[in-house]
Amino acid sequence: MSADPKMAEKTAQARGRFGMRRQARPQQPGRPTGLPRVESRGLNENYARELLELHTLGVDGGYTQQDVVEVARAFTGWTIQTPRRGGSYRFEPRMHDAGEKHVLGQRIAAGGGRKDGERVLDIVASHPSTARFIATKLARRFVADNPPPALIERAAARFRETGGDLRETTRVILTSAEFFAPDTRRAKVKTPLEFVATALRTTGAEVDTAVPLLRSLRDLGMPLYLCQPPTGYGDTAEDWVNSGALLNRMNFAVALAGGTLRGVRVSADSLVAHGSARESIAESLLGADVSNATAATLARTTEPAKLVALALGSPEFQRR
Amino acid sequence: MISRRVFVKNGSLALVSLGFAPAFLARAAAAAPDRRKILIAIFQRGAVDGLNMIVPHGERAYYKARPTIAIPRPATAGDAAIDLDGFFGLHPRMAPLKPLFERRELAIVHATGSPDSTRSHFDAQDYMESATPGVKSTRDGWLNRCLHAREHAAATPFRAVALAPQLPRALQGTAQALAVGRLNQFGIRERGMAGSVASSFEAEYATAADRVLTKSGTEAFEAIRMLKEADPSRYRAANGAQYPRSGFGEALRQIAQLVKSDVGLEIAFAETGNWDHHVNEGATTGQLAFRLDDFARGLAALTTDLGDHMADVLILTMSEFGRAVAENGNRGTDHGHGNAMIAIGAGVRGGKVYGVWPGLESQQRFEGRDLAVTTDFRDVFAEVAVRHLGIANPAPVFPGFRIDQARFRGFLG
Repeated sequence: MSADPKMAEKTAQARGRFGMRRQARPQQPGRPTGLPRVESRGLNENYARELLELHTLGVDGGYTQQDVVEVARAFTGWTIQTPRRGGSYRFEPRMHDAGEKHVLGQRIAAGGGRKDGERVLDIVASHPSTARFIATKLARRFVADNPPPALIERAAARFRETGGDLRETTRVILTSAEFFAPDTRRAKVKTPLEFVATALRTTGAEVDTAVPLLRSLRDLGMPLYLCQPPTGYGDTAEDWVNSGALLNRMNFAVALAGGTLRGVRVSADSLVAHGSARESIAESLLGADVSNATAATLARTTEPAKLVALALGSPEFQRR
Repeated sequence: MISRRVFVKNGSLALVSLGFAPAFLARAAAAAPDRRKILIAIFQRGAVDGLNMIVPHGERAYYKARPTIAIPRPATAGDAAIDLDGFFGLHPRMAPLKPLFERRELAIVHATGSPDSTRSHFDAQDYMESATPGVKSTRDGWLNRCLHAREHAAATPFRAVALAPQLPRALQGTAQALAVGRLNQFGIRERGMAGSVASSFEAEYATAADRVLTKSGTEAFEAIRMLKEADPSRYRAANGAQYPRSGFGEALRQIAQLVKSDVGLEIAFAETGNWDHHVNEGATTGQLAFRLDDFARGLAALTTDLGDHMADVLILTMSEFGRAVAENGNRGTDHGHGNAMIAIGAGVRGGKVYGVWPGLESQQRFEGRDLAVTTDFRDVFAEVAVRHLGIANPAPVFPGFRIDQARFRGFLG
């Protein structure tokens, strides 16, 4: 199938080592209000909590409120140069709490300065809970909403062995029997971005301007690059399937196929290769194993644009 | 056309939901009193600073802990707390709600919250919406379980509606609930198609083997039919109500539409965000003030617009936890514990701040830093479930929680 989103993901994601990311992330500008700093009093725990809960150990990963406080102390002084003008990372020694810290049972000696934060990143990246947390996320992404525990364990073990090599961790998942199991096919509901991207790709749409597509993504509940929570968007069917959201998808399908999406052109006629429009569209857009209901509905339809709309809005097309 | 599913589920009363009710059936539906009670749940996501929203201006410790962001005592400055009872006051941007308090239609429960001490937004929202603090494995939300606890034959696809692009956790579950971004766009827009596609989509989803998608898809088409009958495009707010021009205001306006169009609404949900003010929170002006202005004007407009309908409506506001008593080094507040909930409605014994005030001196605080919780939020929810929604047996709505009406704060009669 030409438009397997899994193939695209394989190429787009899962490169690099978890350690590389953890060096990069806190030093990237973009969340200027999240970084902690100490003034005469008070400590901002928010970034410390997010780091442990959302990006590394996970909420049940075995850290305490005291760990959150210690991590926040370690990051004091990490700040951003001219945050309103794009800014860059800066360490401000006067804002740093130079005392000794204890993070997840490990001691960080006093006087480490900016190295304290880097040391924290090393500690959390090599924590076994982080391996399981990242392995779970990857397995959920590529296999199923509730991925098999045995697969998670194997991927987590590889993560630990390789010092957080995401390519190797992902390789375990993508070459697993679970990944190729029949149950895994269409086990995942597409996110709105996957839905829109696969709709454009399978129909060979020509995009002159992406603005209407951005609006569509917002309507579908997934505004591009504007995810509010620092977790990123949800990755399970529960996150994306409800009546209103499905209607929005059907409406996108109608607009795309009917040519009312400004700046985006789809030639429904060109999707009709040989034989009947229905067969070629059903096959090129949906692949094999189409349900009786969808097959019967398409069989009653002759007009190409309508066929394309009904294929893109069908239950089958919502899954990957 | 009545879909098979509606017919099987509701029997002949399905006719009621489609607006073709014989008079005797309509009367039968109207005779059940609790079914007409509507709950509008408002979630302030991000943990509103309850101490600056409902200000304990009688507390010296409050002013000591917040040198730059405290709301001044009433009448000490032009812009100051609006006194409620000599001890608590409203943030000045909450002024639109003062008349409701004076008319005894608005009550506040202060120092409410979770027995779980998490300071994670995500966990705390999850716990509040599932109403199972400390238990993450709960699959459904408490509002969805409320729907189950009052199953009835005349249930419509609009029983429970979230005015949001995604169904919130509180409404997720096996009872039908809808997430609607905008009412007037609810349906299949067929421009560019030769002939109808809606019925074809409906057929695709009606019998697909995909259970998850079939359920949501079928519900979608039931809802489209009902809304068409109600014709929301002709809606005008009543009694001169002026909703703020914001996503929140728009959501509330559409909830009013649903209440008045008689489509069988029982539970509505709206959310408002950007309450997480770690940095430069502001006091009588600034970030929090700006958000409270939108919040209060929205709620005031909703009650004005609903008018007599408020006899059957209860509005309940909530937020996942409060914020630390002391301001932080960034003139903001970090994640805390206890918070305030607001209840508005004709059935509310208003004009009063309920709960047990724990005090704000360091030794009175939770973990030495936060407003302590003296009312479990589930006791507030349970009082709403029992006394407003008329759920006689609320136990299944609150798994693992022993409900004792003696603990109810009594803000509902």
